[in-house]
Amino acid sequence: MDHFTVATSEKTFRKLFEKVRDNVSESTSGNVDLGPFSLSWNLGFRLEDGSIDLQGDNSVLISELDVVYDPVQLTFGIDIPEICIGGFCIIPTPFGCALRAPRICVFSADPDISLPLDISGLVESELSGSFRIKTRYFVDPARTAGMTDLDAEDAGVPNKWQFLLDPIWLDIDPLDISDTVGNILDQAIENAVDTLLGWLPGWAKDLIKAILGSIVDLIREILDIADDIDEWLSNLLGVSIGILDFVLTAVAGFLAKRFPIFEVEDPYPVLDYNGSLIPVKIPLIGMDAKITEDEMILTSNVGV
Amino acid sequence: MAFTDHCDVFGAVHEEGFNIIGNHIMRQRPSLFNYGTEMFSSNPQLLCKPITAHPEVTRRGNPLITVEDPLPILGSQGLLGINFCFQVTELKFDFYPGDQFSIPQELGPPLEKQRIAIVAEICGAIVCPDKKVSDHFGDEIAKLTFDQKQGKENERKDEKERPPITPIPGEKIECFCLQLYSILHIERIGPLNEQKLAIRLDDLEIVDIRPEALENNLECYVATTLRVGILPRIRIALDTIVYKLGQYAILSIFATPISGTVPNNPAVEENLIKVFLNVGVS
Repeated sequence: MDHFTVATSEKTFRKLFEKVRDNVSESTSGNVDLGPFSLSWNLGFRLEDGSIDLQGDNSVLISELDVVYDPVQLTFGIDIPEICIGGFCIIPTPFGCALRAPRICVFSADPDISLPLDISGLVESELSGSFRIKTRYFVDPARTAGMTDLDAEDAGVPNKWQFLLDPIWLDIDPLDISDTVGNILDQAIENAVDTLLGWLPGWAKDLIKAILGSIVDLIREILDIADDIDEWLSNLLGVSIGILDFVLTAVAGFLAKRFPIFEVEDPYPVLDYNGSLIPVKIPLIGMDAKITEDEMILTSNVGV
Repeated sequence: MAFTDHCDVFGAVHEEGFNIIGNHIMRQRPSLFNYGTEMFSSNPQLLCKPITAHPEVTRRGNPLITVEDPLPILGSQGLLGINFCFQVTELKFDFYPGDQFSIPQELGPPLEKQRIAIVAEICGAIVCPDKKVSDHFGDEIAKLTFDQKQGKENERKDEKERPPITPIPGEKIECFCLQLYSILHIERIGPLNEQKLAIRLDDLEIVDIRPEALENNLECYVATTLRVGILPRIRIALDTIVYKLGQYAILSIFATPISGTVPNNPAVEENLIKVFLNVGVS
């Protein structure tokens, strides 16, 4: 029997996943002027849908997490050099011009031509993947050979048990065709019903939207079949299918080794410094993480 | 059956791990377990049992023992005392069901459900002064008492001016060691929104002291000291722990309420102390 056991339920991970997903959103805006051309942007993304599932094979499956690009507002500007005609003198006099031709300028604005593009909420990417938790014992390279554990703690370079989220496979659809098409159709139906059938009572419009919406959902499902098969195969075989996914999995694996999801100091201080009295530290050995269908279990023993 | 069938987070510590942690504390904070007068602090080799301290304790100049005043000698007007040492040399915990050691008949074995048994070895000694040295100090006290009666010495008006107790020198150290068994349980106390975990002493037994009345008196003293002076200091408030996960989520961790599925929290069973927690995410 392990000396320490800490288990966290799948239900807790789901609650946490949903909350983090709903709170993740980033946006940025700016503009650049390149003389005759300019570009302004207002870009952002948020996460939607998706699920987390603890699997009996010691892995965590994240399925179909949508990255919704919203807002996506781009404005291309073209500034054409101003051209003016007229303004010349028709009736010159010794005292100056008595009559001038009217002066007409074109392309005076900056930019002269604006091409706004607003596809906010229409374009989506989709991420799926399977991960396992790896444990690793980390000795800080800054720790010198002569340091005791307490010296290392005082110097801020203690040894650590690290937990890494190691990707087994990743499936990333940079453009989620099914959802993107579905979003465009949803938007088109919304506009068409409101415009063409605007005279109908609200409940009738809602009914029509609901009926057409279910057809759009069916289209989404059909368009997503190929991707579902791809993800199912990836999960079954435990490998990324597709060169992009393979590369991304390798990159994610590389990053995962550098950025642990959490760490535990070893030896672990159970009593802090008390005046000049040293902290009481217990060595942790055999720290491990195991995932079942119901929970994630961390275990450890105490060294003598 | 999963650990988290009836809670969000489950934690458990096995008695073996608990006992190893106890040993680490004894080695790294020896002054919590060893007491004595200055004489023993300066000469730890005179202690009843040698202290096995972690090398870091001596390297960092931490004390091996907590220095106490000598035991006052009654009638010496608080001027004289006897050197002593007192050590807790072994400490072992046994969580229900008891299988680490046998508890004495006086404590009604086997160990009851949800109970923790502790066995401690306690050693101690006083430094017995030589008869002639005692007589000498007795004469000095008698002289002092006589002078006071004559009004020649009346400086001691205030307790603050009392000089430190002077230990009577001696060389004879005869150590005794006792086995002390106790049975504890954990209780939730207080109103529902302000609950605390309290450790309650059920019973205590000091083995092999005669006559029985002396044993009972000693047990009463130790038990009362534990119940009044020590255990109330280690109460744990069952507050909700709030943990921020960056800007994305706030976790509120709190003890799973007592129910039919979680009848004890914490629970002492299967050689473990188990804790059941719920997590709110906002």
